Amino acid sequence: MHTFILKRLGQSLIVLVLVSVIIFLSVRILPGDPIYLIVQESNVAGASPEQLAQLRHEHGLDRHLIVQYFDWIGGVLRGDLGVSIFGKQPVADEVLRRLPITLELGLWSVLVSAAIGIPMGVISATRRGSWIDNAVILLSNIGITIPVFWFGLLLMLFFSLYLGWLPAMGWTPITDNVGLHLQQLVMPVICLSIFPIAAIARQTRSSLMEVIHQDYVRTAWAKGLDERAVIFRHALKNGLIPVITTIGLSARVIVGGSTVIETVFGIPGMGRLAVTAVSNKDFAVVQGVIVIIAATVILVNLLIDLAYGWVDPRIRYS
Amino acid sequence: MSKSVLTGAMEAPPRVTEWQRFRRVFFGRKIVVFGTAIIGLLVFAAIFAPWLAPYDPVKISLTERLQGPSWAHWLGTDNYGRDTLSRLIYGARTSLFVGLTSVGLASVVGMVLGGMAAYYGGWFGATVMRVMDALMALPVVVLALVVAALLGGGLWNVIFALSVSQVPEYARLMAGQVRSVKENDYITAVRSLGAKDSRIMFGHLFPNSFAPLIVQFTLQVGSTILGEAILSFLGIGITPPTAAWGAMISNARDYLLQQPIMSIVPGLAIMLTVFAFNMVGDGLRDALDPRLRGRL
Repeated sequence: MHTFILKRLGQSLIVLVLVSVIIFLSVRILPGDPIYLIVQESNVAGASPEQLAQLRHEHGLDRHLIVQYFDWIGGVLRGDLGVSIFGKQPVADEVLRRLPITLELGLWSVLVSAAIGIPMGVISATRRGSWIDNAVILLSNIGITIPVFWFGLLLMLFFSLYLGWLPAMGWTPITDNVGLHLQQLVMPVICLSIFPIAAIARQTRSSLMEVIHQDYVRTAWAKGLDERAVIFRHALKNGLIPVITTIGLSARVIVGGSTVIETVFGIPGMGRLAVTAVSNKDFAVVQGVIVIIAATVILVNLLIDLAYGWVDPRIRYS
Repeated sequence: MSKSVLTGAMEAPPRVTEWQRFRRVFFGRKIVVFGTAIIGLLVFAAIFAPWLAPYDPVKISLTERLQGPSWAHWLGTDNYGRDTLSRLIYGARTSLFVGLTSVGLASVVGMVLGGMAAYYGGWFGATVMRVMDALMALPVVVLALVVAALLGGGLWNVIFALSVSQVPEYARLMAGQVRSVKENDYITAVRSLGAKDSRIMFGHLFPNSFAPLIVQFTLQVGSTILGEAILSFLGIGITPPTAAWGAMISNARDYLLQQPIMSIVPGLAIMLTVFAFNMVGDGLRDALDPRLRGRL
């Protein structure tokens, strides 16, 4: 198990370094010079080449790319993500304020999608061909095709504007008002969970159906165990292993989905920050936010891989 | 069958060609037929949009702002008085074009990269695949967002952004395929005949690695259309006034209570389209996957 952990840890680190290089280079190489944006922003009409060079120097953009990279990544490792080009605020402060919000949304969504998706898959696999199985298949097909931002608007229309049950938008810290905090969580969490619920239900159904036909499950039936014992104590144990991977993949989808959902519901999280930074072309913020998002996703994947290795010995010895 | 048993005569089993078998499996499920019909309808709408649309999709008419459905405007009008049905029809053009082109680009680049990485292996293959892993660490939306931000909005930049974010998936799939196909005896045979690398790759390896990629291609068109809608919704996709479903929803947001149909219709269109591509993808998988053959 130790070598397995070390190997996976090493791989994750390599991926993380590569991601940082790719982000850094793409911001530098793709068209769209940040200096011109700063000039545009500060309304320095017709800035002279000397002024441009001065600005470039101030922002350290005149140094060699490799120097710039190590300067930046060194800062990131010390918790310094640079300074927003427009707001002049440290990016790290902004990230620290917003990351917990997105993490809370994500955590709720993972819990909700596992709590709904797994039972859906189990029921559907054990009642194969019944109306309930068909309903689960149909629902999960809808779940992976529905545009979630649109679904969010529909929820808002019915539950906030027509029925008035839930606040339409916004975010209140849990320390300010617990009730309102939870109410404001409902619709965003539903939206973020739709795709994962569908994916988890599909995966649970298919892997459980594969397991159900194996000899050890037949043995369990032959021993005269009732259905509950066969499914929950024997079949599910192995049947749920591939579902762990699906949950891990869902984490990536949830983080991606947070960009639109936080925009729809006006939630000041990382996703919203990424969108605003991108539309303002605030490259310092973009770089910082993307690195944090990537690190989060890589960490989740690492944990999932380790969990997988822990429950399935075949993985860690291969 | 029962008849031949009674008469005792042995009949040869009917010959089934590949195409017949494909058709029988593919069109065997009603939902796949439904999906195919929807895609056919969309393609028709996209090609003949100028003749089908009752109005000019970008013509502003301030006297007809925010109308509900009527005989003149079947699906109502938006906040600029533009006809929603016409924009919906032209939107099909945008969605299909973006979906097909970016998946096409991504699959070609991804397949060549992944195929070469698996074929040559070594440090080259390892580097390519690690870069692909790194790109996979970012959510597709986030990756597309960054590229779209750096390049700006607009049709081709959106296509580029969506392609870049999908390349890794194709590269991985192709690498896996090539690695397994490479071990077959017929490849060794071609090589021993003195064939060049390029000939082995393009003449033998790639064609034989194709089936799973076609399935992936179809499924991916749906999710790319969804991706385009997200980018356009966030305001960094297709630039107005071009009709795009995501941008239509984003635009309709401010009039959610006043004119809900404006938001509902483009969303339904996206959903139906993505659903159709997914169903056809599933149908193709059933029809092309040799492991599932013999089921019918």
